[in-house]
Amino acid sequence: MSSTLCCSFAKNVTLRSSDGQTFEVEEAAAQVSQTIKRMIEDGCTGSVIPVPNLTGPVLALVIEYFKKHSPPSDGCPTALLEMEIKDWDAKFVAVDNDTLLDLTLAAHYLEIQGLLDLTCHRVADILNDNSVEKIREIFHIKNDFTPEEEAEERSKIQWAFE
Amino acid sequence: MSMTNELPEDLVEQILVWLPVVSLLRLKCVCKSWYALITHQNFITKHLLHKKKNNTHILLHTRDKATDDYVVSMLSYETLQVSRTQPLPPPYFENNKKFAPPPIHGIHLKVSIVVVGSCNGVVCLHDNYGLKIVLWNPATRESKVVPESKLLRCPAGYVVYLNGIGFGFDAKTNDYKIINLRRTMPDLTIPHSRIQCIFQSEVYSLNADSWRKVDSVRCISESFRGLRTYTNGMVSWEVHCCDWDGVLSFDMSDEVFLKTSLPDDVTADCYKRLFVLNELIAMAVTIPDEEWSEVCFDIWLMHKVGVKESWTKLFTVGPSTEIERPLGVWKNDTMFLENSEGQPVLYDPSTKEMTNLQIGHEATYTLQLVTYMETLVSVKGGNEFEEQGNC
Repeated sequence: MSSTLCCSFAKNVTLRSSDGQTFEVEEAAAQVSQTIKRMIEDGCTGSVIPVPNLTGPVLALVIEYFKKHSPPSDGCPTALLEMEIKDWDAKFVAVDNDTLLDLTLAAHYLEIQGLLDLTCHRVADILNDNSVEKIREIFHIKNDFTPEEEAEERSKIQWAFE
Repeated sequence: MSMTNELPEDLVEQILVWLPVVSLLRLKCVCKSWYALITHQNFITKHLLHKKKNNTHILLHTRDKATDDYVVSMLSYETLQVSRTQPLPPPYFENNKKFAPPPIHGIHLKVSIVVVGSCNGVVCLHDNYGLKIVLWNPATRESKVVPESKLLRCPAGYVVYLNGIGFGFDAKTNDYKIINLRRTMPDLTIPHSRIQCIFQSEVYSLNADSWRKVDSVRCISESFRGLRTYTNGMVSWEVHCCDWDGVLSFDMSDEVFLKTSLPDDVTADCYKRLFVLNELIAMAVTIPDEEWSEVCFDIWLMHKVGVKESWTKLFTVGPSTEIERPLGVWKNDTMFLENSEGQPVLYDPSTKEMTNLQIGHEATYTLQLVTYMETLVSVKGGNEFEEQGNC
């Protein structure tokens, strides 16, 4: 197991996306994902780890996140480092809506709590800033209210739309 | 090449908990599944717990200078900036008109409305006129007049006085409760063969939407305006009994009273005010000079309810001629005070410096400050098992 290896030698794992692209990443960094961590612990490290819910471009982004958020080898992160990571995070999720939603789903599937909080917060900001109609468009949501039902519900909380 | 068509429901929930109440009310109209999610009790609780971590406000209850109407203002806990100001709910303010009771013997009485308490976004209001109790969620603008109790009867020739009231949350049964202490006294304008006071208490449960009698305590509290406080599931009042003076607390879950005597250095006749400091009960004791021109306030903290020895004196505010009364505590022991102009000010005990918050310019003794947070919690009650309908 990895714990018996010399610490100067970082062990890598290979992740494969739904469209067959493979990426090599340090095992410690990939373990930011609880899902991957469990797969490694279950002994999937010998071969390639499949990540069938993510396409290559999304997995590439997630790996960027892994690298930035892998636990520092020399103990506690400094306040300066934390600030820098926070800035990096903000830029990381300043992407187009579809990419943001893909990242949110990826964080959900791979159980990456930090990325999940980050993306959910960002998506919430978008929800906050847009009209109901625009939200349906962004999220590809079908409006299943009848016009009468919707008008009635809106009239009850008209002040919230002002 | 997006996967966005199918956001799983638990993920939608994790996104929506970040949103303020007003946005969630709008988002109910996106589709039926979002409506069902946002109005579901589980989501309301998750949203509340999420907000609890980082969304405390201060609710300031006061009279508007121009209109003389009561209004509440929400202040950010961090910046103390007013985020919004709104009128009170019906029946106190309805169709742009304030509550105007019919005159008694030709005299128009001015209605005083107080905030009994605030818990998980639900604010309990009470007035000195019809003795109505109102539950109100200012964020959803939902409100309800609590049904009158039919339990406690007043014998002929007796008058009922409000002896103490409190509002809080019973975490064991997930229920919002109101405790009402009543004192029934003989009407002294009518001759009585025997003078006797009757002390009675009752608890209102929002889930049951009804009142229930509980054991009472023979003591007198002048709790109409702000002489009570609520922390850790307990309402506390400053009370006087024939053989005992101190703080009376009522446990909202166990529905029992606990008594804490005053510290030895504090006498029963001092003017005292309770508030919350670091989730503990704190007490400001007024220490005037001989002419009442300059006043100090000794601030005491009770570390354990029921234990007299657990009181410690923290610091003294003043002496000053400008302080009317303490209102509560902000961060790092900084206190909110009402100055002699009736305005809320911040007081730093280490530098003794006062900063006017520049919010209200009101008549004295209308100001009240309570901690508050925005939630979706419904005040309708009586329907805990009722299915939430679609729109």
